[in-house]
Amino acid sequence: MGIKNNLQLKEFVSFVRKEFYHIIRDRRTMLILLVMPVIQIILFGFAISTEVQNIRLAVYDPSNDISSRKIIDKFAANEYFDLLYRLESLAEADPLFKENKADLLLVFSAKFNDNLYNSGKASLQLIADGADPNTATIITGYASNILAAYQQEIIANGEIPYQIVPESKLLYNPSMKSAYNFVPGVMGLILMLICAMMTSISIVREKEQGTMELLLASPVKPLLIILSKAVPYLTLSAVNLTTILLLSIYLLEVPVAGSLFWLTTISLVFILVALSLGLLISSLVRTQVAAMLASGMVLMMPVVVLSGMVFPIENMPLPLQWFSTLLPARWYIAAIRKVMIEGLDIAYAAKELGILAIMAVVLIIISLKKFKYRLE
Amino acid sequence: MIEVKNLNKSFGDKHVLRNISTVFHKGQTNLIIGRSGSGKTVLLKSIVGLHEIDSGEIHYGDVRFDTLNLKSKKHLRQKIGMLFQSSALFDFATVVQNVMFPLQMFTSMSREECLDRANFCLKRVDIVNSNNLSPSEISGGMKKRVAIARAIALNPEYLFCDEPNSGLDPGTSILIDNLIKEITEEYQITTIVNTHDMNSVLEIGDNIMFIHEGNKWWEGNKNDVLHSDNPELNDFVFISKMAQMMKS
Repeated sequence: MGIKNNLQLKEFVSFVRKEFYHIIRDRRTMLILLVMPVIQIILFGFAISTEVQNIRLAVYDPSNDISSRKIIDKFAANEYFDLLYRLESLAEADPLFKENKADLLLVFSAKFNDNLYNSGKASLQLIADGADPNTATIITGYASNILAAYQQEIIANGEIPYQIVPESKLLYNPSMKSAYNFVPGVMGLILMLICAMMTSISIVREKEQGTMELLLASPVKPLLIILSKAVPYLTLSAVNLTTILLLSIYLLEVPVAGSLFWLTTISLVFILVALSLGLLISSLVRTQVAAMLASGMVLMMPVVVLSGMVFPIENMPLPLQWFSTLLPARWYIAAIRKVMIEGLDIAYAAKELGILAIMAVVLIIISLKKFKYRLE
Repeated sequence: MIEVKNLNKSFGDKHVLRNISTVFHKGQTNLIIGRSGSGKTVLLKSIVGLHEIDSGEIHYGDVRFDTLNLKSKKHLRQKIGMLFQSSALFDFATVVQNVMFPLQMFTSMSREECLDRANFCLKRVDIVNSNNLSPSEISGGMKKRVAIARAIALNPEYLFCDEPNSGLDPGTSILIDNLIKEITEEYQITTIVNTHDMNSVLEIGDNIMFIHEGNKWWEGNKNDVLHSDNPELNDFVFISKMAQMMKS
């Protein structure tokens, strides 16, 4: 019995070693697997940001009085705005937008200060380039905040006895960093990519090269083939998870607010889901290209578009919202946001973890049943 | 010895093998020949257990193979060596690692013992000083020889070769054929070779079974094959001008 178990263990270890060699010898794939999380974290953390900086500001101030100058000074002093143009006439504005030289134009009315203090009403027009509505909305939002702050200032110096000063506080992400939103999404994306895509490609590659026939005809148990395929990608995923967390903590300054244990547990369950999806894909396709396309189109695209990683699920049409409930990444990203970003107790992410666990069990059963012990 | 009795195999509505019965003898090179699509690869893979048969029996010596469960097949499969059309070498491993793979997987031999055995098998197929080359660095003929070395590493009682000469030049094909025959006789292996190469048929065909449209159409040996009056077999054998000239 002992000898038999030792032999089985030896078979398993040899097989896992073979799979590791498979990955390590293919240096390009190895490089992609290890560098990709770093690049994606940098891309999503820095390049793809909802913050708008270096806003090119143009000003038309026919009034040129104390109030308009104060407001312009506040814009000039703000880190988001670069005051580049002071216009002499409104006709100069049109070419600036057409040639994409300005992002925002402030147009003061004539006698701005007089109107403000005499009638309590002075008009100031904000003109932004609406070709990119998201950016335009963000820019005008920033500008409105500066104007609101100025208004509060002059009200405070006046003789009005009561005033309401709204004070906003953003929970969990006080500095409004985009990275807080993207890190959980990138984790979902990377783990899905490595586990599902690479596992399916790895198995299909063996089919294409004929080595799968060799293995199936050998004394090795089919379950062992599956397990040994999964172990290296599970290990790589653990390495990548650690890399992503270290990068997010030390580079993007996104801390793990909640329990690291539960963060790891949720990730492990998600990895199991992704591995079984990879196995399922490998049993449905015959070529590496088909495996890559299936993983890319069926898994990656929905993760990016429909999981809530980039676009809020609540804003989607109802059928897409229903469809998104089938995506493991949706639940993973939601759970990670709760545990990692919001620092909530696991009880608040129990629903997501439960759904992921059910998905894992169902997919493992289906993919093991679908895995072809024979060539048919 | 392997015996097949009344074997049938279908894929959906397509009946690929019809009532095949034959005996593959120990210490002899048993050839399955036929046109592409005739069913010879399905027969070979059914015998190995890579396809589940619809009906019939497959016996390895005294053991009925087709009714064994996966666990019981494991023991028998340790006695099987396989040589595939594509050589099926692991591209990430070196020549010697490929040959050592089954030894490390399925025996309790130490690494040194595995290495000794792998070197012996490689030497047997005339591969020397190439241990550390990768499959991409060696020729098609060398790949086939390495695959043969790997197939015999576990000292198999049964050797299955699917189109072993595919993609090889005539000279290398003869070398591979002769190597298979030598090994078969030397180690008294029951060897089944799937081929449509007439050179192989005439070189090594101790027993030949001709499959036509999924049926066993003719059976004999390399001496009989040129003198058969079976029209379908003659169409297959004498399809080339050279063969027709030989006949006349």
